[in-house]
Amino acid sequence: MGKAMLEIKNLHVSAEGQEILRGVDLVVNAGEVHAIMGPNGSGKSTLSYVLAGRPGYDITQGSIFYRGEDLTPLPPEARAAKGIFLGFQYPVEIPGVATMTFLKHALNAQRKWRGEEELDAMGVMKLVQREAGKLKISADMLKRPVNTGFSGGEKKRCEILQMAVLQPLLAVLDETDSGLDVDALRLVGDGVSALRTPDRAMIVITHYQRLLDHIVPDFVHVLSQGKITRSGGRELALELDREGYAGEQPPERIPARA
Amino acid sequence: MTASQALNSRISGMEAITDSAPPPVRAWRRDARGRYAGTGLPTRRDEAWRWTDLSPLYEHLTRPAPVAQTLKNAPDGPFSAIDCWRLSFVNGELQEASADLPAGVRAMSLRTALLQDPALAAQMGSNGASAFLSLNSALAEDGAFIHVAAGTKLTKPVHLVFSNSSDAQIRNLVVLEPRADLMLLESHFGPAETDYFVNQVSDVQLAEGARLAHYRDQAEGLAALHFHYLNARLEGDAHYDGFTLTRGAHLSRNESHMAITGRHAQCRLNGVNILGGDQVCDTTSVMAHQAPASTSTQMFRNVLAGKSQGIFQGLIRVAKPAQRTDARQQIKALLLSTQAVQKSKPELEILADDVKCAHGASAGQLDAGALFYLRARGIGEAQARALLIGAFLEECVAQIEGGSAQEAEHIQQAMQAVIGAWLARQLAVENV
Repeated sequence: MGKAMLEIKNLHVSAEGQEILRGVDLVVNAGEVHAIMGPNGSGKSTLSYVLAGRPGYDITQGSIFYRGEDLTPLPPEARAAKGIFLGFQYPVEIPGVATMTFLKHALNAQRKWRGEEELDAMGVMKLVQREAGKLKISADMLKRPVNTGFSGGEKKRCEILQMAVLQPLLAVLDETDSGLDVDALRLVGDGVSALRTPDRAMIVITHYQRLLDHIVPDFVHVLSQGKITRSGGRELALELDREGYAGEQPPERIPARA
Repeated sequence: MTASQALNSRISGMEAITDSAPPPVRAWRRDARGRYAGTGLPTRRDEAWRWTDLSPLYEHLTRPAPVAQTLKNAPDGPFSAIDCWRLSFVNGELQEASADLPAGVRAMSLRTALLQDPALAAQMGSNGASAFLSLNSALAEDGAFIHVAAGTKLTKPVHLVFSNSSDAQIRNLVVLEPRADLMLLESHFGPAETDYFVNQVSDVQLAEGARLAHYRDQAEGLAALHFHYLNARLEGDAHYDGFTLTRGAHLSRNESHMAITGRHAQCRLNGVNILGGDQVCDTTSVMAHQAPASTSTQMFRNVLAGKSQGIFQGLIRVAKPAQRTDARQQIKALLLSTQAVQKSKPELEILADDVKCAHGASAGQLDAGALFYLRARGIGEAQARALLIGAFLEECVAQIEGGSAQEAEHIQQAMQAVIGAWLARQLAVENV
């Protein structure tokens, strides 16, 4: 397995009988930021869900290894405890559970799973408030139920807050830029950039290059029709931004059924 | 012997016993016996009982009543840690009562109260069409009588503790004079394996500006049959805040008849029903607005595991003079298994033309998206489910008003703790 943090080989994934990923290969090392770009429906979100362990996706071929361990049999909570974080494109509203309470449960569940001592309410509060301040998240927002009634920007900032509190090793950020205005984009982009460390890797999934002005990637991949069709450096994102995804069709088109 | 023969013989047995009651009480009982004789026990052919199968009760009545057992101390419930004036009943008989009640408050055995003042019988409803009401009026020997004088506010709640192990017909009468203010707590419990039958009726009279916070924890044994009939009248500016937690009994029915007879009265009738196994809980309400500008809200949340059944029948009736009524009713059920069933029937009967009425009923499963979101943050599946179910119920528990914000928080937290313990047990069972 070498030093790779994440190694995806020939990954085929189906959902509801439809093949969505058709042979994805990807290696991500600690300290790297990979951007995955691609048109709508290319399988970007599916890849993120499969990494986080969402039920309902069948891996029909291939493998996913995370820090040398087969990830596929692990439930979502075990993956989270081992350091995988999914920033949701559409963070889910959970009425009745205060954001601070939710963070306390999440943090302590992960700590307990890893055999670490749980933090008391005061310890969690201090940690959360410190990170919330950086993201301009008010104490009032932390008292409100998770994502309930939050604006699009508030939801995305709250995702980054969760990432900052949970300190994952591999963060998969699914369209974190969608629904953000310029100021919110900068706030979120800077928040994510601040979490870049040599022992942490990130996969940033995005449709547009603009987020990558704030989170500068080491590698850019194009996912199209369930496969990575091109890989390159930062310049590939700029090229796609100029020229669009029109040319990104896989070599073998799937013949239309009669 | 059939069920109705068995009941008839219990009723004739009572005639001998109650001969010693004062004449007005005897007359009142005789009327109830007559009404009961006219209806008998209901069947599913009766519209009000269409969804609730009473065969466990019929079967129960063909057997001799279970022998009363001596129960150990009351199990912990949401009200255990609250400083109260307590009245303890065993199978409906008053055993012990706090003696240090403040001036203006009477809390005692109803039988004793009726001996002292037979005219009280007039304040006890018996005219309803319900066979369970008639039966209770014919058979009940004791229960609680609570009277709070005008303008008296109690500094701590009165707690009625009902320990049951045999059949009991329990009758309570709660009278709040103008501007009286009381928090009344009730706990019901009994042994797990005994199929005892409890039929309790509470008459509640709230005079002008009176305020009653009435919270119940029904934790009867899981083989028990529990019928509760609330007969309340609210005069002008009266305020009733009711909340029932149902977690016990094999078969239970909470039937509430709320008559709002005065202007600007406010009535809140809420409840959480958490059921598993083959438990059935029927919530039936009639919210009758008879005077202008009154408000009522009803919020019920059911969490149904195993093969349990939740039943809700709620009628809002707005009489012609009751203009500017604001009446809301909402029932939501969360089904934790594919075999659990919720049946809901909201009904409106509106004769006034300037009213606001809203009702909603829904039943569904836990949101898979929310469950995954919590798990993706490291929260294990059982805990994630418990959190979501707790949040679903929290909305209803948070309605408990108490007498003060502090008191409300206290009771809400105690209710949540009991619900949390139930959830932990239920989810552990489900995972087996």
